[in-house]
Amino acid sequence: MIPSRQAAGDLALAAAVILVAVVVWIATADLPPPRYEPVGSAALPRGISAIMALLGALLAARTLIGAEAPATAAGERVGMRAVVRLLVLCGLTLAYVAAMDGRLVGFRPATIAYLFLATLALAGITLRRVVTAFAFAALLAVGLHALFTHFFYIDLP
Amino acid sequence: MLDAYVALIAPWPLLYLAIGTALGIVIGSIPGLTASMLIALTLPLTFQMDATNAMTLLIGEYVGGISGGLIAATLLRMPGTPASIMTTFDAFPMAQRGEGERALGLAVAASFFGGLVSWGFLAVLSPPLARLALTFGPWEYFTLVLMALVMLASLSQGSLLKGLIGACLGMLFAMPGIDPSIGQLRLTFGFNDMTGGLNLLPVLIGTFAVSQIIKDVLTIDVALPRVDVGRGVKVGLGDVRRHGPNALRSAVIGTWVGLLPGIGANIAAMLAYATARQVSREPEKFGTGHEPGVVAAETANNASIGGALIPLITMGIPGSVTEAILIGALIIHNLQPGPLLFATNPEVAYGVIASYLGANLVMVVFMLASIRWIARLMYLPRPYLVSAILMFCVVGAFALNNRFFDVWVMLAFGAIGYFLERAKVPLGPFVIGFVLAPIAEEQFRAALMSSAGDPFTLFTRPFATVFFFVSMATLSWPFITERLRRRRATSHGADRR
Repeated sequence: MIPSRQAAGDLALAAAVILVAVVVWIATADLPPPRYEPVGSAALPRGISAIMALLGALLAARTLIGAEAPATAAGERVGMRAVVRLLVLCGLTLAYVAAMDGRLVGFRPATIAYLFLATLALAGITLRRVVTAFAFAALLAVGLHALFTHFFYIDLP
Repeated sequence: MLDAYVALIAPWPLLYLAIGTALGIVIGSIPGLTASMLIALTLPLTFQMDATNAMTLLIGEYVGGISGGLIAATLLRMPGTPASIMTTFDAFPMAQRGEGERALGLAVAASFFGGLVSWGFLAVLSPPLARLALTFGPWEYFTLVLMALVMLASLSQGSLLKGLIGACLGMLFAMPGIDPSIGQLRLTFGFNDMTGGLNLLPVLIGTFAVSQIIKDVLTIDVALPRVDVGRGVKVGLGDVRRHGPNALRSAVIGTWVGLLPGIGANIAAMLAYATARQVSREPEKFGTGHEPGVVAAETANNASIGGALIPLITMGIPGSVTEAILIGALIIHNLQPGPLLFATNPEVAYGVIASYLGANLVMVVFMLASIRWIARLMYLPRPYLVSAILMFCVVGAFALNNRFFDVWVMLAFGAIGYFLERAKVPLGPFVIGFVLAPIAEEQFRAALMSSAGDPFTLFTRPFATVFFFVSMATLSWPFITERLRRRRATSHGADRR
């Protein structure tokens, strides 16, 4: 008997795959037909999306009838604390990128704030860690900025 | 060819080789960080470098990364890289009974020997293979890519079905942008930034580095046990006679397995280990801290690197996902991967071969001299490492084109890569599908144009026909074996009655 968690995951994967295939099929509907060659621009995207939809349907069918082989190792269950930590890191990363993309703040202050907060979010807050995280963030941000702009000649925001 | 070796002993190439190998060893030794991640993150830093120096740095990181994985595998039973999984079987029990120095010494020497043997194959086979590949036309290239993708999908971990799904997804993600044959814009969904398609580097960094970081964050609380390395490594000349035949056999296995697309260093190590156990007079000792087990695994996993470099530089076909990243490096430096590389940029092609030898020499010197200090790096505080690496990912993706679109793409592919792995869809076919799709499409359409739309002209080309039938055989093999297995089970059941 296949674990139901894996079966649910496989069905979700099959649905996502079929959805992507349908989106690509619709998005290629407006492409012009081939003029100077046999197949045209739409042929391969449509061909691959058709194959993928078929594979997705096959995966769903095999999952429903219980034919899909179970995973070789059971997926690890992660604690709520780890998930919250991950979500905080994701939020910080998105905010970091959005702040620089929106030109709200430059690379150095954004990176110092990001590294400082991300390190504390992952390691936990103690007085010693606050000091070391800030020093680490400041050194790395300033040092990297100098390295990229003066050595690699890559402009940072 | 000799010029490439002479060029390598200039100050800058030597420096890049040393830095790359050292970085690779350090990163490879830290559980949770991989050579693929390091190479993907280093790519943006190579923009300003000469192409040969860039490849020297990256090859050094590759060799160092695969070799560095043996440290944590031996001392903590945690493979620093997937290639070192088989090393844990015997090296860790040796370390547990106080023979850690001996295990490390054997593993380092075996890695070096494996690298030397596969360098020999790389140096001897690459030029004639490149000349052969020059005779390939569009049908040969299309069927070669098809064979690589199918083999990768079927031989990756997990089911064939999910491997094929991964490959198709990867190919679809490569489609947006400008059609490689007639320049038609497609699948941009109205975004101007999508006109150039999705760039390889953000996809690679996201899929490998960011998804790995997500996994690392979820296990960041796992504390590593403290282990004493002793004085370093213990290995002597007597080991050449004792372990020579095993090492040579494992090196040949590793090289040839590495040559096949889709099979990585961990499979090479597995096959060499299984073979060593099969021919051994003491097979029951494998897995209990038996020296030949360490030698077989580490020789093969390093030898597979040289094997995988052969299709990379002769045909532009990646033998594994790390080679897919190296193809990205060639593309970033405006070089066309494939057999023409030997003709148009021989200094790069032969530079890769020379760098591979140099990296193995640097690796053995570093490891033998400083392994006890490198081992301490395993205990670097993970929160600092993870946040710094994620920041590097953002900077690296931005540095490609100085635009944040690439950073958002990287983050999206980080999430996609993580969820694909959770769904047991192997990332290898996904990434190689992304890399090879433009080549496959271009060659397929060129082949049809040259044959006036007749696909059956494929069967007039011998190599293309062979590649095509190998692909079909690989696709159908799991169904045939399943059918045979059921038939045998039914007949056994009937015999018992």
